[in-house]
Amino acid sequence: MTDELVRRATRDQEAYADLVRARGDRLFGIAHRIVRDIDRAEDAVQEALVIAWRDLPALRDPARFDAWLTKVLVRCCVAEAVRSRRAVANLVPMPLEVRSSADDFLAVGDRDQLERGFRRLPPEQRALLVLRHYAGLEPTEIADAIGIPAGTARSRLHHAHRAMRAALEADARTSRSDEASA
Amino acid sequence: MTPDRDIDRILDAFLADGAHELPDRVLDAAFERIDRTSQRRIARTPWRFPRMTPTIRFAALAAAALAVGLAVVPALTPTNVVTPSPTPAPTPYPSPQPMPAGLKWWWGGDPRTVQGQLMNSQAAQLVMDDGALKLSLRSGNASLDSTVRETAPGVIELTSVVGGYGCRSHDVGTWSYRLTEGDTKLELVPLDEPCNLRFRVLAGRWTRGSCDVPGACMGALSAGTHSSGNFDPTVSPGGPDGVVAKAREGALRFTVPEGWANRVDWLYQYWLVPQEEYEAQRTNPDAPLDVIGFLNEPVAMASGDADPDCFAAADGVGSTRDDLAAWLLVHPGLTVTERDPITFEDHLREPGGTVTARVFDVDLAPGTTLTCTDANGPTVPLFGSAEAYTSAEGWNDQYLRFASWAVGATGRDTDPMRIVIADGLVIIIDSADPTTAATFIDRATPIVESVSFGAP
Repeated sequence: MTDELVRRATRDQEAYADLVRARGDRLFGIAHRIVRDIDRAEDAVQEALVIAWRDLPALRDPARFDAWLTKVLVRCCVAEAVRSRRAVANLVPMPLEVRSSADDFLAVGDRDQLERGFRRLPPEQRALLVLRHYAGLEPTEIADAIGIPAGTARSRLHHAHRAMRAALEADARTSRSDEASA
Repeated sequence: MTPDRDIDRILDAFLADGAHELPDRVLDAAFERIDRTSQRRIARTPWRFPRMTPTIRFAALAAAALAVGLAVVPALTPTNVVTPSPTPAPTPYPSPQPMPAGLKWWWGGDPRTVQGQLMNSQAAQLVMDDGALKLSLRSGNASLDSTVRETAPGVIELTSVVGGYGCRSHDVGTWSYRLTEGDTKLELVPLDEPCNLRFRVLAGRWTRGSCDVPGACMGALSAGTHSSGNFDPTVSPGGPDGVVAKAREGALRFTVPEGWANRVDWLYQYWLVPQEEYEAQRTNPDAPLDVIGFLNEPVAMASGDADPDCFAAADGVGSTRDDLAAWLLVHPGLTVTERDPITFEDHLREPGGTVTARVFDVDLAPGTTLTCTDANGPTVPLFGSAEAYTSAEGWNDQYLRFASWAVGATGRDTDPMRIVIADGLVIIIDSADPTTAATFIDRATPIVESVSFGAP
């Protein structure tokens, strides 16, 4: 069914609209978590949808549409994050939107620390962690989605986890130092 | 250390929070743009060129001559003479539309002269920014900052954001544009342009940047001098200005012959690669890549005997040029030969200044058993890029970014490479194939020797 819709979407805008409308929330969820900003996430999704429309005729296997669309989105998010970093220079802004979830596993202080740590990661690493922990993709699916070998995806994911841990620990050390000097 | 299972759980909970619903207006805006975006069709090579009758051939030649004539007008005329359009004017839209999607790329142009100064191919680069509907010239001196709107099919209106160089703020110019060759070539022809700089610079033919992530690399480079867009080569280890790397347009300058591409232009890494390998990797991520890699804020990495994953900084090694050089020279897993130093012009730290880098030829030590998790064969990690930050305790706290470089991991017991170390920067000339490393080093070294920081 989806395959047929993808085939139609290569020449029919309405079919394309149906195809991506059903995926909009998922794309936005991924984008927002990578770029950490609502406006930029909207821009990234919009750009990805336009690029995907433009390049769709080149997609040979309709069954790969979702992985391919995710790849397009991740590239747009990375580009958006690069632009964002250029714009904010060395500022490290606090999160614009941190909603408490039903799972209150993390305290507000922890969330702030996580937000800072996560923002310290390069956008490519953020994308890996979002695809794994938000989109729930397995490393082989991540590899497919971002166009790298499965072993490389596993290795990069491992490094991303380590970088996140290092960022958290660095943040904790700074906080402790701040408290001690206060 | 936070155990792995905890970091998994923490990230699951952390990333569960955030926006989930895409506003309808985003989809509407995307569909509006899609209305004006044609799909890319796979080009089919004709079996032979279509036969032309003499009349058609003459008409084609005349059209080509007209196009060339329009392109050179601004270079020859002292005033902004506008050539009448040979075709009927298109019907204007009821209200101006945003910048056409097909223009939202980086566009490179041939070198051209402006105000008596030659703009090289790097400076003559238009950045058509999506979000701000902005067109700007990638040059620190002669900004073309303008907003762009489409007023009729194939016609754009440019409004100056700032004055200077013969232009006033809010000068409005009108141009026709045409995308050809699969939307990879852009032809701009002035219809009415009061801004002299725009008139002289924009007219003519532009080629779309070939980076797959626009803004994150330059893609294929023409022969000549280029500079980086994001990479910051001046993060001083231990200096107060090095809290976080800053995007510094034009900070890294270099000269390449034909056949090179820029694969990565990030804050902390910059890669130059042979163009044919760049093209091959775009379709096959496993294709080998020979790299001239620039890495800022370098720190020495611990070997696999201290950290099996090879993702930790070596204990007790400073981050100045001489600290890193001293560590490299006595590394038990490496054979290292120091060569003559290279001096780079460094206009960023001090106008007219220089910085001297030490140069080393490095290979795996014979018989070394050092390796890393996931590595293929003997491997010795060399440098990682580490972001330093200020803490209340003082300087030198840092955490490793993803970027790191190792010698080895090729499945062979040799992997020669050349390493250039300056304060706050390492340059690594690394071939994917050890058997061709010497050739690649010879090819890459003149490019490294051409490096300077910032505009002279």
